[in-house]
Amino acid sequence: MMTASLYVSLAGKDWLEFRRDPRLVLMAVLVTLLALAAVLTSWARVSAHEADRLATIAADRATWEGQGERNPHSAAHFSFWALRPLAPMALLDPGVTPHAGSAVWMEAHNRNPAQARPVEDLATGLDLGSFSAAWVMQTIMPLLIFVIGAGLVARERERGTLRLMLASGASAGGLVPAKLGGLGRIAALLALPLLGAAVLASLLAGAVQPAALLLWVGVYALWFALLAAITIAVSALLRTAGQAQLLLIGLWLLAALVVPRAGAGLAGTLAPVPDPGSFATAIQAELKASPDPFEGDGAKAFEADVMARYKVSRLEDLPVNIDGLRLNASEDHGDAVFDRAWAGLEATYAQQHIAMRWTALLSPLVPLQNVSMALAGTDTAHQLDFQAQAEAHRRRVIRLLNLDFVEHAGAEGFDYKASPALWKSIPDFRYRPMPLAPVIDRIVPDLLALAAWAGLAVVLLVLASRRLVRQGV
Amino acid sequence: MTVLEARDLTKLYGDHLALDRLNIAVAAGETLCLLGANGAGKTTTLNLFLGFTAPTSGQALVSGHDVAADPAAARAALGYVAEVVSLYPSLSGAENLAFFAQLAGQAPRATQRDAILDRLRFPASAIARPAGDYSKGMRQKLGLAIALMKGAKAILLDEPLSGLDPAAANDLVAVLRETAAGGTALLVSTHDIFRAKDVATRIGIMRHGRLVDTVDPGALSGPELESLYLTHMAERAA
Repeated sequence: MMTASLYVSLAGKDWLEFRRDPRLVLMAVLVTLLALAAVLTSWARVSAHEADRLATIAADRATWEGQGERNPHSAAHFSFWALRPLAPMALLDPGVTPHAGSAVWMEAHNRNPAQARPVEDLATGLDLGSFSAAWVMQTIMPLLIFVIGAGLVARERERGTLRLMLASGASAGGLVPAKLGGLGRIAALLALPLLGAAVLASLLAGAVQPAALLLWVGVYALWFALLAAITIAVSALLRTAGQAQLLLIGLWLLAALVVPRAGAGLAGTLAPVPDPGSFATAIQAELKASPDPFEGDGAKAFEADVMARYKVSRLEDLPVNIDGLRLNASEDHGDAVFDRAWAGLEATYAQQHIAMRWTALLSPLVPLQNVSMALAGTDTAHQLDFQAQAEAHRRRVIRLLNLDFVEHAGAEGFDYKASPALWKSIPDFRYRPMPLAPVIDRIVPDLLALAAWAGLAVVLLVLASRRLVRQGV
Repeated sequence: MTVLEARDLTKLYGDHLALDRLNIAVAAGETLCLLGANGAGKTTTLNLFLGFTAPTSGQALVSGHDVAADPAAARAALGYVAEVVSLYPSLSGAENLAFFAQLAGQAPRATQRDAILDRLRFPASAIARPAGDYSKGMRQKLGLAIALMKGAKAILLDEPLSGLDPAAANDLVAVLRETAAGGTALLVSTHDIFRAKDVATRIGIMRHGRLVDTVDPGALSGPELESLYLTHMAERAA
């Protein structure tokens, strides 16, 4: 019998059996409700975050512009927040955002870490940040597909219908692909409402990069195909539906729960990230160990250098305020220390990421999570990019304030007060989303890992199919 | 016209000789019952005709098609009724029939289905009920209906009367006779001597994977057939 017509017959029959099994239908309904609840929760979270962010920016701006006359350096300490917007696709996959700060306090002499982690605002101890469309598709849907699909081939063998099917004209070689198509159809019918609702909510939440969204949906389509392929291969290779279900649930426990957590623990052990307190203390210690270039022994050399630059022989003849220049020099000195410390931190994150990637050998969920977060703009790389952009903005703003000090303070020095026009000229922080190309470059190893898993699933399917043909029933 | 034919058909499972150079031929309208104890090679013979297992040597032919060389063509002419007909319990009888008809490449037609079910004396009211509720006799009839809807030239039946109550067994015997009379070749495996006599046009007695005798059931009374069978079995014991 042709595989296409075999698929139509089998898929129709399997769908009918699925619909008439109240346990499976109940499970599917519960998962669908859970998924829709996840989308609604994510929608509420992203909307609330954006409303809070916009309100905070407006209030912060009003306070900044309303500070009256003040010394620019004093204003540099008064300062304001750089707030990270949540990408619309964070609604699909919040990634690390519940655990990552979304606000950086910008001030002179100091690069502050991001604060205001959403998990700190939760009234309960539950990590609701992970309750999302991605979580349902990564963790719950695989279990549902495994439970539904475990018996699709094994049960036919077990109850004797496989013999009758083959005797009726079904080809053993076409059976496995037809069963895969049937399970794929059930999985698609279960996943489509969730995917549709999630994508629609994401599109309504803001400007989405269409290519990123399409790729995200495509990767999840591959994920479901992979799950269906593994399920059918196991079902065809094992003798009974019970054995297949037991093995698949074991695989789910390993791939969805054990490996990602153990991998994260291992990565943390191999490349430990310093706690925020120790990190800040280490930076302060380095700053103290190497004083600003205009202090101590370097003071005279600094002044001589400034006088030479402005071609004067006395400090009093300088056309600018040297304290403003000292502040800038202090910033340069501090920035070098910050850059070293943060580069070290980013290197540690990169080591953790590499260590975590190796666990993709044991679980396809790991590369899927990496790809999903990256495309949604919610992975560690996006968080570091936000912090880098915030830091660049801080340096720009502090330099603008110092420049005003240098050019206008004159002999008044720290008694000089700038007008509110200066505050108005300081731009707001605007986060620029990362372009898609470098994001894709970064996830190529994860995409390859997913492709390798898909290849393995195809090999298993071919083996299962050949075995069915060779060994019969 | 010969529909089923075995030519020196032999099957070895490891060192165990399950079937030893079997030569049989079943023509259209004929019913050959293979009679024998467990392990005599009856089910192995059916499996070889169905292509569920490959012969060690020899050939199984269905409508001239070598099963091992072209199992799809052979199966297209075959129907199969297992000892316990396996159906999908949550699907109705009609849905089961439609599904297996589709697998056979047939477009299921209600008129054809109803005519077959009527011929098999399958209760019309039961066809819409879930197959999980069917008695064994009803399942056997539905299995036969699946084979007939397919238009099978030959039907292989594995212990079809086993476990049926006397009334249901008589009913099924009558149905099988009518089916054969309609031009279908039947190959029936059984260990029930008296039912074999009722249904067969020829009886083959099997022992240790070998066909040891072929008898005309019309030429022997029931007790004579039983005596002959026991003689062959005694030879085995000896």
